[in-house]
Amino acid sequence: MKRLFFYILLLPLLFSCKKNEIADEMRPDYRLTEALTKYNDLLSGSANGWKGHLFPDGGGGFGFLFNFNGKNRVEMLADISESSGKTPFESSYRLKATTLPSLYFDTYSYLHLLSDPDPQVNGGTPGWGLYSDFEFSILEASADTIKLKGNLNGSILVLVKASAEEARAYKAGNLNVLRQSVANYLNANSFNYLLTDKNKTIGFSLDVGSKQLFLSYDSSGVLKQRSAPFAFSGINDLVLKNKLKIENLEFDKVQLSDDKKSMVVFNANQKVPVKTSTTPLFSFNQMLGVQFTNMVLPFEEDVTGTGSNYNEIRRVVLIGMRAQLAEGSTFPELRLIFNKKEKMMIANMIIAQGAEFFQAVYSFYYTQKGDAYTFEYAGGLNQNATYLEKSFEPFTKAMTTGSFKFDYENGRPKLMGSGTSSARPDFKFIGYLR
Amino acid sequence: MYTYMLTAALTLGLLGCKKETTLPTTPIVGLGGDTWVKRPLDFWIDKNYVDPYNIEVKYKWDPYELNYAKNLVPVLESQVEPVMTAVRDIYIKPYEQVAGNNFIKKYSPKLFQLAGSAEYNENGTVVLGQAEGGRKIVLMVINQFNKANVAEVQRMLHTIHHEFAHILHQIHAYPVEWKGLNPDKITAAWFNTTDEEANTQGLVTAYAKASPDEDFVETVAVLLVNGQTYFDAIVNNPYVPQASKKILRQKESIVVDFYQKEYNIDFRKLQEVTKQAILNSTK
Repeated sequence: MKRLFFYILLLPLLFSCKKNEIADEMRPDYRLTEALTKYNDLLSGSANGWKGHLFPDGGGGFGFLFNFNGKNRVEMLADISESSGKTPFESSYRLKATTLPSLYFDTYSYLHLLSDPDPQVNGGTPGWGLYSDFEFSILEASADTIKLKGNLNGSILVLVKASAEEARAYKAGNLNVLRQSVANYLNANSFNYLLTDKNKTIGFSLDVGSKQLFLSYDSSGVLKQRSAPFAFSGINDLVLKNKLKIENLEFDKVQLSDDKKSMVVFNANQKVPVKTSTTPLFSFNQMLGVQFTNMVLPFEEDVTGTGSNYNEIRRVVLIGMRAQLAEGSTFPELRLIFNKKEKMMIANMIIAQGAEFFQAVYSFYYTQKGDAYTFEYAGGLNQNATYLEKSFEPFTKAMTTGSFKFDYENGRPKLMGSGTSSARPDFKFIGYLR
Repeated sequence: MYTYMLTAALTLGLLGCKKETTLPTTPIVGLGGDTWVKRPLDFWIDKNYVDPYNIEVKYKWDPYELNYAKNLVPVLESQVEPVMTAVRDIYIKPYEQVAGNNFIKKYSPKLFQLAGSAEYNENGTVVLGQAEGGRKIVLMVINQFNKANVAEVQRMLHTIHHEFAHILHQIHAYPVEWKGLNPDKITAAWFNTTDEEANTQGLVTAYAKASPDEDFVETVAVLLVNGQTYFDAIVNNPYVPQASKKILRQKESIVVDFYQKEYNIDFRKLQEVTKQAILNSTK
């Protein structure tokens, strides 16, 4: 074996002198120049520009239209703000030979808003912004698709040739239209889902703010979740950063219909419709901490369906707290915030004084047995809470008496849920689930 | 086994190929710097910096001119001309007027590198400007430059005058007595001191405590960019003890003498012209 290995080692010696496959002047940098020219021609060769799908390392996705003119100028539209979606901006680019041939967006543009280290620009991390990129290595290129990777943070940028129709739509502000259409669709359809071949229900929810698609599904009683960032693209598309796969349902693109009323996902070349439901797909307990963590109780009003005992206690608390604070103080919301990991519930009373808002924050531990929740008061978390503790006490007492059951309140325009005391069935509160 | 290996190595030597090689004639990619299709801004830079002073202004992104492990962003093109106009009018022109046409050509750093944002450090501080070895000056936060903001213009010009003064004292040393004025206040941990504390110790800024060289160039930069009135206010501050007042005045006079003796520059006139330039530029 050892000897065989040794002969193999010697083998290259026999062939080492044949070198006619490389011409005399074909140095690496000659081929590098060739590559750079080729990429430059490719970029400027698309008559209608390139659709760009950028997925920063920090999460989310952003859609672009790039027009490279071959003379170091690029014009772009971007789905970052209202104005970047409709006003083209021209800046500079160049191709540079680094470890890999790279595309540099070398003066400030919409793209750089995502990388800006100043948190005031993008609300990101000081020094890093959204962990995005503007120098990209070219990893793969075909006639109509170019895959790039950020040199600093490793963000993914995919360029796909745009059609004339798409280019026209982008220039007419379609990135904004598409974002708005998806938001409208989501307002009209709260509960979306997909069905697999085996009739498994997969909850399908889009977050237009963080540009993420979430899939939720029941896996032996526990709700599991998958997610992928998306970027708005073309006329009606939402392009995912990576393929999502559950059973044999696999897709990386979501498409809104032309009338903006329905959606499909693409499984291979087959369209799978996104179905809608008027009631939640999974039980309250499964969704708590997954789709929503807050139950927001409107505290100044009698919400239809709430229990009489709850409203009585609510009024007593209101009278007590009003008396303790400046005249005109109101208490628009009591937010019940569940932390499943810590088994804590925070009750955050919002206090409005003119245009200013303050909070009184109380904490409860809870234990869950089946669908029954029992609460234990853990104390106020800030000075406002301590100051108002006595007035808030009736609510604290009611919450810590007996156990509670939570459920959806179906048939309301927005997603709402209720909590009902087992000890006093007329202590029932209803709030928005967020 | 070892012998085999040795033989193999020798065989390799015997079989080494004979090759007629000539040096390639095509230039290496990127040798001489990156190129691009020039636009009006490039012509403006040529006209105002490259042609008259042989100074390069790099405004296009080049990570290797900056701290490439940090996340900075390039400049907004529309900001380049306003910034470099201010630099020309408040740094180059005053020297030209007072020291003659050739002075800047001979001594000025040859590269201005521009960056759109600041460089953020892990500890929460930010770097707003930098310089390297008398050859390169990095101007940062260009995207927020506003010529009407006097403090901002002064900060940017402070960096330039600071670095340029380094070059001047490296060519002709300042008098050695400078180093004896307050050696006990020099510390590597200068950033633990505020500017006001440094003033009471007889130094113009906290950074001046870093070394006598830094002290010298900070004094020059403050006298030129912040001006004589500002310097007098430091000296006349009631919290600054008599001994420190005396030291500050000594430093001032050493600076004035140094410029006169070593470079034949009337420092008082340079101060006056710079002050006027800042007034004109920030209108």
